[in-house]
Amino acid sequence: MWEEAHAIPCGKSSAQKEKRKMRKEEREILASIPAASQSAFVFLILITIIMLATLYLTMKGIRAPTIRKIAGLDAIQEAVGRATEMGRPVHFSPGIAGLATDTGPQTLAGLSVLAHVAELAAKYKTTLWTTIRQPQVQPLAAEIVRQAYVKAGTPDDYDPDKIIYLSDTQFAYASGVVGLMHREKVAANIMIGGFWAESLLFAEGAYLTGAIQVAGTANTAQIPFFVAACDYCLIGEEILAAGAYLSKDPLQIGAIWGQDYGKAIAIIITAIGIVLSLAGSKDLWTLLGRLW
Amino acid sequence: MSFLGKLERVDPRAIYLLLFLVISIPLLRPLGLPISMSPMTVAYYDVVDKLKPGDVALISMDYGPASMPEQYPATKATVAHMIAKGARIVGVGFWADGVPFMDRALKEVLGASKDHPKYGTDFVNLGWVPNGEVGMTALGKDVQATCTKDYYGTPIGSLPLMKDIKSGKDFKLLITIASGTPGVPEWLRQWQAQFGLTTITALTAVSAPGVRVYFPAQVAGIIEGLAGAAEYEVLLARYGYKGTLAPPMDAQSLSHLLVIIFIVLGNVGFVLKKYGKGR
Amino acid sequence: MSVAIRRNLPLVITFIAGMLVIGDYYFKVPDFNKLIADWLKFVNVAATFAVVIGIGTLTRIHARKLKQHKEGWHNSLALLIALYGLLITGIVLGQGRFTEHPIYAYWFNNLYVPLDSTIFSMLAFYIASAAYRAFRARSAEATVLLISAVVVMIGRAPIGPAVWSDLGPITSWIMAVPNTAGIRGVTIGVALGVLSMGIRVLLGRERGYLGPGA
Repeated sequence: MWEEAHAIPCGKSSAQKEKRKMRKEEREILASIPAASQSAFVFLILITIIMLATLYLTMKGIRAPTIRKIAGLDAIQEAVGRATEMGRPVHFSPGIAGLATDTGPQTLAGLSVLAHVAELAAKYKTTLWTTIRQPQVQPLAAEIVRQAYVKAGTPDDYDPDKIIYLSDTQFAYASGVVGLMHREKVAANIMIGGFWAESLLFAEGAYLTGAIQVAGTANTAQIPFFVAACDYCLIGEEILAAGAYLSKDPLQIGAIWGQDYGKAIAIIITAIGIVLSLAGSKDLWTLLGRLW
Repeated sequence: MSFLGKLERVDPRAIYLLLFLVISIPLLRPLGLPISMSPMTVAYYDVVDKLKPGDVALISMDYGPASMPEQYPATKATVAHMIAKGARIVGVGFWADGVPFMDRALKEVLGASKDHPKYGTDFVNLGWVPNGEVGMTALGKDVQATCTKDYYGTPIGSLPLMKDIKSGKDFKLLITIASGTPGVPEWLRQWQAQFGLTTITALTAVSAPGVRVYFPAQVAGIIEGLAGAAEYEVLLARYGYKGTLAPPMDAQSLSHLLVIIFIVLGNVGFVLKKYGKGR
Repeated sequence: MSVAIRRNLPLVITFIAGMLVIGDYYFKVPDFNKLIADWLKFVNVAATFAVVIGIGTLTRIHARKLKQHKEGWHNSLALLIALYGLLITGIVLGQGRFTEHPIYAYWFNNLYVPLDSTIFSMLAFYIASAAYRAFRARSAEATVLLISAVVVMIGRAPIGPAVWSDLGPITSWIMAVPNTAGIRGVTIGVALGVLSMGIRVLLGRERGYLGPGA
């Protein structure tokens, strides 16, 4: 028994061998990440951790960051009010993107603004036309508008025929929207979402009816058209912040806060890269090309 | 309204009419203005020119009829260039209404598409792959399973060119003729980053600034709009390629000049009115 | 099915599917990658049925408009005739090879292509009137925008470098340096926004895609 109590173990136990095998497998899986994707993977993990932290802090009420003023979103109330005074309708488009692609967040952002616009339209008893390009977005938009009218206490004013799925072909949809804007003589045109070449058709079409326009998209190619043709323009991720700005939902505000840390990291890496490049060094470039 | 007031608020219909005239006239009577070269067009040309006989390139039709007038000249010129270099071509498309343009380009460059004696050995048209980026991912992982038949209904197992093409790794070059989504960013995520494939693109002029951010690290060459296509045609003259874009370039020059004239007039009216001369 | 399962099952499916695809993108483990490749083929086939949903929705909306003789019903009739006429031509007569059939090819080349191109070409006129209206020297920033827009417009057309040879390099510099820098900034910001939305969707915190009641 003394020998058993003081016996020195020889070799590894099976539990330790299993643990080593798992660590080796984990290392092999990590090593399988291609060089070009390694820095992206690290950044993804880092941002996810930061995002989880900021979501936790805001949802628990520990921190309550505020979002800076976004003139375009504040102007929506002015636009709907103007349409009400003129006795003319408002037109809203959540963009032509679907929900399943990487432009899906823009559509979701557009739908969150639609909820706000619909509430205003219900409150002021202004006609709201909502035009849709993607068939899968139409039931979501219809339900959002219906709930806005219920919330405003005027469910009977809700007209499902005013949420129109026009066509899923880009320019057929564009023709339909411009035709509707001219026929109905819209006084306010609000476009928040994913827009492509039809953006300027909508903006100029609405300008010719004398409408006030608030527009926003994250598609960089279309932003200049909105800046040139619309009264208020939301640029890039301002539309993704729209939901948080209008609803003051802690979850969404926490997400915006997390994004800001991501931008800070990108800025720091860029600044380091600039300094190193000016000094003639390619170390950061090499490092970002392969981390392990 | 005073003269300066009118200068500041020209009826858009007058602008439209004048624009129609300055675009139409050079198309009927070309001016013959010289075409300058952009470094990105030269880079695009150089990448295609480096192809060796037998190299397999994938060319994707990611545009629709709306941007056909702007994109088709680059499509046709690229196909002609690749044929001249002896490269083998695999055509595909992620826009359903853009895929017929591959067939059209083959017919216009070679005289025939599926009936050409070298169809199946030197070039293949795989047709439309649905679902955008998901389709690109699937195609990159397993070409044969994603496209079981070509555009003309022929099983691709029976096409000699496709016997050695299993995944994205088996291509030498990726060319995307793109005008929106799905387009360049999707290709870069699913093919360029995954397989390290050299990628070049011909784009509409409006999309080009957004893709310049990837040049030259991820996108090795860019043709920007019709102007870029005209430059590419000039470079292809050494292969005997007859370009058709000189008159449209003249029209573009005059239309840009007209817009600038109106901008200047508008600003003259605005500034003079601001400083009280408009009373 | 209980309310809790109905509410949470889509979120669980979303999380598992998302993590599998992300894992496949980064980790190159042959058996796992093959599994995901096979699964993506299934997803590709299933998602193509969205085309059927689109056709069904269009038919339902326009047939109702026809039946109720609402304003513009003749446009709905034209749409349904074109839609089903071309569908039958392509699938039945063309044996699924659409533009291979001469009637379909005729419609495509002589109707669809010119119509689509025409709507797109309207942008040329609209940008002219928008540029005339927007590019005014109202402030310092607006003046910088005006000057750079004029320089780029004239530099990108052949006439610019023909008149002054330095215009080409100046235009290239404006496009390559300040323009690209600005777009890179917006692109990074938007990418982070999309990433943030994706994380929230995967964690079940963002349920907008399931409908307002979710």
